[in-house]
Amino acid sequence: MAMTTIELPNCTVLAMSNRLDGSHTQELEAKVEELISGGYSRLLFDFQELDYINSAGLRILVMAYQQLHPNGGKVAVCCARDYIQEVFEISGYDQLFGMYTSRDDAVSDF
Amino acid sequence: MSNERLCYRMILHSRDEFSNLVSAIDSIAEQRDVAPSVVFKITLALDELVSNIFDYAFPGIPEPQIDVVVCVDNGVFFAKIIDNGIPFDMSKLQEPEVDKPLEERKRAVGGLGVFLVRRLMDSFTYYRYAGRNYAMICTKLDSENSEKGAGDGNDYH
Repeated sequence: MAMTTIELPNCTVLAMSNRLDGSHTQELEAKVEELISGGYSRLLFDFQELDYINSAGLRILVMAYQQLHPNGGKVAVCCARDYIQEVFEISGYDQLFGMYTSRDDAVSDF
Repeated sequence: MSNERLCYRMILHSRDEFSNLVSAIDSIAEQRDVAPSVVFKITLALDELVSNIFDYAFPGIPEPQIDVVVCVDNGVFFAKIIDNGIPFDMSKLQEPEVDKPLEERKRAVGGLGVFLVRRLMDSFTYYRYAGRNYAMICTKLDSENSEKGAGDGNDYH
């Protein structure tokens, strides 16, 4: 997995590529914790180039939501492939995060 | 698409070796032209089962191992996942309350992995025999004709 962080005026984009699986979840968790503790409260996960995510990866997004949402922060996901979107729908997490088909739509909604 | 049976077998001793299983699935997918969405759900189901076994089935087991056989045969994918761990009946794992808002769920993020296996595979069975746990999953390779979901857990035996 490769991860790029982009700071925009109204949110922070975490763009991931390839596979978010067992060996990479700790890396993402550390990055998300670092951002949250640094005061970043609006996170957009860009899955345009992401081929794979498992339940451990989903838990990191939920963890971010649980820390940010009660304090007025926001977590959103954009550009997920159809089969990854399906996993969000099965788990009910599509109701938790804002789910967007394009990064521009997601950013403008923050 | 060839209908001839194609199988791979491997022994996993640690979570890190799951990448070998991913390679086997990718090889099957390439040889049988399996759609990326089907490759994803097969890989995810195996990932969640193997992760659960390594996380929960091996306390006090000196030489943990998972014996995995993955096959495609006549348009169907199936896998046997056999471990030498303690009795670990995944049918006993409580399902996450996916229809409730997160704040109202008693168990916010637990049990999701096995729940995904049930929903993504056409069948998912478990039994214990002769000191080993047996988990079996099965799904059609043609996702258009897949009767999705292993249902509400009634497939367990």
